[in-house]
Amino acid sequence: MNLRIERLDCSLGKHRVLRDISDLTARPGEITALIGPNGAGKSTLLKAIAGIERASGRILLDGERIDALPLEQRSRRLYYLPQDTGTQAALSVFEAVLLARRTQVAEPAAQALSAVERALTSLELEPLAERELVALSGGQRQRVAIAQAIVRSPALLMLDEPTSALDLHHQLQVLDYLQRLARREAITVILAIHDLNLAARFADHLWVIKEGRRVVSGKPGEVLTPARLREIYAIDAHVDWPADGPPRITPLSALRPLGA
Amino acid sequence: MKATTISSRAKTHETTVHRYLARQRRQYWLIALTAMATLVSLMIDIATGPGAYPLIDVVKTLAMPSEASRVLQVVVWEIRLPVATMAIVVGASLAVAGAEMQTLLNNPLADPFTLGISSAASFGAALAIVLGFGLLPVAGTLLLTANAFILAMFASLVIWALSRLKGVSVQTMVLMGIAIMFFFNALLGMLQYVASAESLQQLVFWSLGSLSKASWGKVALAALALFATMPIFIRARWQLTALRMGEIQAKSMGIDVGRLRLRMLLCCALLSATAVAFVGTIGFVGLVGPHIARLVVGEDQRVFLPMSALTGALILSLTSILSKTLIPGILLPIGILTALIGLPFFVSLILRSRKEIWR
Repeated sequence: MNLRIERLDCSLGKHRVLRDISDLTARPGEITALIGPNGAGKSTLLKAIAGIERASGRILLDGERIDALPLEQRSRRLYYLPQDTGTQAALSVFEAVLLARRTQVAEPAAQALSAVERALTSLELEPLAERELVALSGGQRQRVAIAQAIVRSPALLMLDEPTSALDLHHQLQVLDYLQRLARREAITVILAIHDLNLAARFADHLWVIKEGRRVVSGKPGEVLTPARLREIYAIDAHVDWPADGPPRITPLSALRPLGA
Repeated sequence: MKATTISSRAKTHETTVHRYLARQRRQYWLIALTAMATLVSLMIDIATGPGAYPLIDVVKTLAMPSEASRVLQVVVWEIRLPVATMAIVVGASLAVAGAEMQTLLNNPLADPFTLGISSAASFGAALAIVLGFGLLPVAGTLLLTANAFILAMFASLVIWALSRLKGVSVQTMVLMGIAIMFFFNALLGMLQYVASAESLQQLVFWSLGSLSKASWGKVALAALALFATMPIFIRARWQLTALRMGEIQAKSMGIDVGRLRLRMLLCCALLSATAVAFVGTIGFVGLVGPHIARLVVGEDQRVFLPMSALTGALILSLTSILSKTLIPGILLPIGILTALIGLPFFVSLILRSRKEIWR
């Protein structure tokens, strides 16, 4: 589904976190990476779209306003996966994924079990199906969290730093999976991510925000330029786009060194 | 090659779902076993007391009362069965309230006793006993229950409001509960100071917790509270389980966490209040019961809820037997025993939660 955001504002307590965010769109079958420095409001933006944080403004899915919909109805179409998916719940992997399905749709048990099985299979989680969540590694836990998301078949899937706790192998594995998932199921995927190299490699589209404001959006090639990186992150960086491989962004120095 | 892959995948599919169903069957069996153990404990509880009866006589009197002797009929049906059933109902009520409070507040130390809800209810009961003062316009036994309920609800609302504050840790919440407990205990002390000798005796009964004043009417009211709230918890089973994934993920699954917390905490208040109104303050059953249930069947509310209820019922029933047999000829107040058994457990949980076993 096409997502469009217009004039989005959000305050947490007295602090205005998002300021008049407009002209951001994300398309089905594509990965949109949301980037920006720490404290830019990336998580808040995703939570505001999901309805977890209250915000004013317009959020449109395929032209239909969803910002006024209650949480329950919004959650039928979209899913937000938080950065911290750690839980100490005494649940098995199968139970946790079944739970995600059951909170969304009322259907015959056999149908729900079969949906859970498909989600587990697609993430190669069958061998862990009976394992307790607390006994999983960070990478396995992340895969379970993604299985909980995809078992609900959301049209819009938002993930908050899905690779931050993962090693290099698992980072590539997860992002590659999400890219294939987006293409295959025509899901609109939005990731908040810090790693610009991964963003450049996997995203079709970038949203950049800073201090709660939209800075720019566009294709990675248009957005990730040394001048933009200087503006967004206050760094000098070398950007290399080889014709035969993924882009390489090498940060060189911070413009304002700490304590200088 | 392709056919082999498909057939092996089909097999995996079958086994994943089948393995889950087998796990579920095991959980149901464990629940059935606990239910049977509770039933056996109930029988033993009835058979135990001044003038012990063989278990077989108790079973026969229960099954065919008309064929038993008049003495046995009176002892079993009119004296001991209401008390033994009250142990089961109150144990289940406190454990269900504890299980849901732990789930709702994401706090392993939460139960009606540790969060001061029992103390609030006790004070409400004391208002009725000492001053004959009712917070609602009702009379008789209901006056006491209504008072206990109103104050238990008030304490629950305070806890709910605290749970909405950011940065309130598991330990802070329990400290707040202790503050609530101190507050109502101080008010209770004031009532004790002005109470007549007769009222004072009744107040001591509340503070120690005792099943001995159980009657069929009280059992029926306590059971009514349990059976009225259980369907509400059962209907919310998936939402409650989802809360254990963390508040944000629960919201992402479409759950109105604030509303769910408020509704369910009020149900917990009703359960705690009726338990306290009829048997006084019985601590730690609501803490220990759910923890054992969690270890045995996990936290899927479809099995966690009935298992918590049964474990709480079994614990209080066994404690009731213990209260009659520990010192022969003396009936110990059951609240003292549950405190002695529960306290070490509570301390071990505090030490474990310091290691952030729950986040």
